[in-house]
Amino acid sequence: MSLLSVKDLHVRLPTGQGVVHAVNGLDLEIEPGTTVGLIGESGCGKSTLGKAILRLVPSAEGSIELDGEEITHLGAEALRAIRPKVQMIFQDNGSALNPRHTIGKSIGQPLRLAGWSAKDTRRRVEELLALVGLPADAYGRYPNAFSGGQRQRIGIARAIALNPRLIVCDEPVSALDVSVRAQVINLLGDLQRDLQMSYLFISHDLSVVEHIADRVVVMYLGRIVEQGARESFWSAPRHPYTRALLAAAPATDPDATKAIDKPVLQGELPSNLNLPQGCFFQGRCPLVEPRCREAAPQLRPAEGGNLVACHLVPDVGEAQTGAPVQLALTESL
Amino acid sequence: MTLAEPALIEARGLSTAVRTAAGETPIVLSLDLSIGRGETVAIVGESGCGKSLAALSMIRLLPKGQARVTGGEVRLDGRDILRLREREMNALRGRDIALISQDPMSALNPLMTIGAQLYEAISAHAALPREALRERALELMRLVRIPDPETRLGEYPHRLSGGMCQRIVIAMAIAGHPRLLIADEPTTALDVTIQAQVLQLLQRLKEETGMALLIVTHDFGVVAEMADRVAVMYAGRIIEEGPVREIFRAPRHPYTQGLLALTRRAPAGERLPEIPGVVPSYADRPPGCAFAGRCDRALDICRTTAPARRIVGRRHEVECWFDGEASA
Repeated sequence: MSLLSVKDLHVRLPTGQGVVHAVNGLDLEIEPGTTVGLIGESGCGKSTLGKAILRLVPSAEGSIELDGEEITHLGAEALRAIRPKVQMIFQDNGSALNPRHTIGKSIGQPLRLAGWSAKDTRRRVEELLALVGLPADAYGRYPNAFSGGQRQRIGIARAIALNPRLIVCDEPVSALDVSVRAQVINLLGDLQRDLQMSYLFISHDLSVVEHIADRVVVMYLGRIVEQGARESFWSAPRHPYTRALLAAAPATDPDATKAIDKPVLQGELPSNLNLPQGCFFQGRCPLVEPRCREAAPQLRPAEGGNLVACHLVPDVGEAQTGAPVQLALTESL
Repeated sequence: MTLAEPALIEARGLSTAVRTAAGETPIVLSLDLSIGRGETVAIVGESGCGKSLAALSMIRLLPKGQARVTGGEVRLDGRDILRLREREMNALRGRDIALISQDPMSALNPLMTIGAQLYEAISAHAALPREALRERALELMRLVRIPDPETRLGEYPHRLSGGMCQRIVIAMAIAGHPRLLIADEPTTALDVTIQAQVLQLLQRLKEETGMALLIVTHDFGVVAEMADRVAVMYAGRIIEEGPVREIFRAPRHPYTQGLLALTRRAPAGERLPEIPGVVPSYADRPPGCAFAGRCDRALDICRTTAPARRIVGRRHEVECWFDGEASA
């Protein structure tokens, strides 16, 4: 059974300019102990999805099930009981820490809120500091005494304090230098192996996602346009947007093709105040056809193993038989 | 460094310090760097290594009262621009050297229309009648591929996305036909798709105008994409410098090797290669090589004596006592 099961989720956020359609009918499953990588351009709704799962923003439609329990509309009291199971790590953990609280107090806060005694809390915090590779004397010091990488370790310690089943990691290493980034990624990997947690890993950094994610999900304007297991996703991306996204990543080799000679995806993510008709990507898609402007494509299994929402990508088997083959969505979803 | 033809700009022994509560802290330590005509050079390094301050020192745009050049020279066409009067320097900015910074939003005035800001940038170099000014502004906007430029002229920056703002900033920077464009982390705040658009734009502009580029970045991907030559900075010094292909193929400094290993894909499930520890603060900087504390090959001499610059290949230089060639 999935640890997290999101079905047909819609999130709409009222703003001064109108209603932002941040998440628009999205299904997502996360298995226990695995990492789902969530990629897409800024404004595609990936952070909002993370917040909706944590119930930090309300969902307009659809359902969120955590560990078999429907949490979409839980009241404050029932929600408090769920909180320990799902936690979040932010991009800038420095600003998520109270500058007037010692590190020990910050990490211990969720434990105290959960009813732990002062003595047990102290012992657990010391254990957590060791677990995330911070010195024991960090306990009595304040956030400003720590570097960005260390503050990220503090955030991780706080997030894992109550043994969560799922952590939403929102760009956890984007603000860090490359040399420190690897340290934090390795720490997250070690903790997952030891504590059997699941991660929803939100990032715009494709190389980090490629390293850490068992499954990859691509979002565009609040919908999933493609998703697949690590084995198929990177080798057989099918959606024109996924292909453009992967092609846009700068080369790691000076002899590779330069941007000037590459077809670079033009335009920008359209406004989510007024959603386009049909396929959301049609306005920037180099392969757009009239049917793309009429009906929104659904996620379907494609050759290679990914699920793809694109009219132009043939169904599995279509190429061989010449006719569309209807396939039930497999359980591996 | 010997060049077949004289460099467009050459910094020698350039040192810059920032003012802190405790006095002046040296950040850039005797930096040597030259850029040829039409060449693209990248300074790459982690935050705090001094790469941005080094670039700002070369165009004398250090934040007043917070940082100052403490030594060295910067020669443009053989003339030391650090000794120019402010008025002479102003005439040179935009015409000879222009700068685009990391945060395009803060580089634009939110209370002025895009058009007014472009007119200002153009007028700084040429007195044009109103109609010609508008034509030149539209030409610049087309050059940086702004869709629907006529409409954009009358709009304010907040109507534009980060990527579009960066294009406007680039248009303003190239208004005076600079021979050198300094780009300080030009794509750091942008999405990967928009980054590819901006890098493509910079490459095209370079081909069309023949200007030289100095790119300051923390991203070896941007280096691979853009640079002819790369200078790796660590704790205020260029610790390795060379042609980009050679640096990627055979990096000599353990720090360069570590950074490059981090940019390559590690097989899934395996631990990423780490560089242990963090960049030492100025106060903790050891007397010898600044990287010694994080280097797994450090010898005794590394901790006591700073390594001198050695030539290890054609235009490839490194500051490291370690003599063996190792593949990253």
